[in-house]
Amino acid sequence: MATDDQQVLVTGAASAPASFRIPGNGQIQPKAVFASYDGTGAAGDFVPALKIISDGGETVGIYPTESPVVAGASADVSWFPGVKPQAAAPLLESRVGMFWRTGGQTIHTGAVTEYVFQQQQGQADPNGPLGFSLATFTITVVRNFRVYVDFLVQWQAGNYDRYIEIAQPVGFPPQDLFTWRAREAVSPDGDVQHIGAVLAGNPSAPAALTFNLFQASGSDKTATGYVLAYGWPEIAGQNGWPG
Amino acid sequence: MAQPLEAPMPPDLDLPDGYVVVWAAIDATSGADVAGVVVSGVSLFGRVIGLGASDTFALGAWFLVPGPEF
Repeated sequence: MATDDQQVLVTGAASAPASFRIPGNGQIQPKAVFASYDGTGAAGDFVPALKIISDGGETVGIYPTESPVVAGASADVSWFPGVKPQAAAPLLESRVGMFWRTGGQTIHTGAVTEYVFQQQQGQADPNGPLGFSLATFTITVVRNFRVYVDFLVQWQAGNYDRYIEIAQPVGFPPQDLFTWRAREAVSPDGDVQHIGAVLAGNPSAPAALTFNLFQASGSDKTATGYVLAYGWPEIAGQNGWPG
Repeated sequence: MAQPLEAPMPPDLDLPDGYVVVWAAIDATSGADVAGVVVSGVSLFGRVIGLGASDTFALGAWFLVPGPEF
């Protein structure tokens, strides 16, 4: 059965952007377009794109590939109707933050004391799971939608009542208001304490977060603490919130 | 080895005479042209419609032209 389909070979090679003008004796409705891209000498990563320009010089459409080509690589590109865009993969990038101080912190007996961190990793990451106050290095916010926090504390050895806790005074959502606490009084099991907590964070309205220590030995004790936080967006989208 | 890629194109895209087809290599972020990329092996398969006075669609001597031709 005869058809009006034609294959046109456009001769030659040219530096991108390369073009040709539809001849002046008709029109064509393309079903497939093909081109080879040689990126051996490319100045950078690039996206092959087909552009259609009207006879008046107006851009009718730009049809790029979904995947880029790295500089130095080559690609054989096919354009045709019916190519479906790939579904966007959920953004599940996890983020890690670590906070600590050297030399420990003095915890007075009988007083709930917030642990103040001096060092951290992830300061340059504005989307890190935990934010903190630069002035005191006190952890103040939870950024990612869900954050798992490990709080580890090493106390001066001894038999005395002590606890560590993670407190989220203003939770999001409200049902996530909890205080996680571990309490022990006997050495050596109580000399190193560890608690983990899953916290809800809202990057749009970060929640405050405190790490508290308490001991009732009758004298000052030194404690050294570490926090390791993993944040992961549970909803696809920028930073996982909102989706 | 060349990486095979696919891209969408409208199903009813008519290219009348005088329209220009451009094969570009653009930056993914800015959309600016990326220098140093060479295009070759171009083919276009489609349905010829709306023939002009010559009754036949010119099929020979289509040459790729460097740079945008518009």
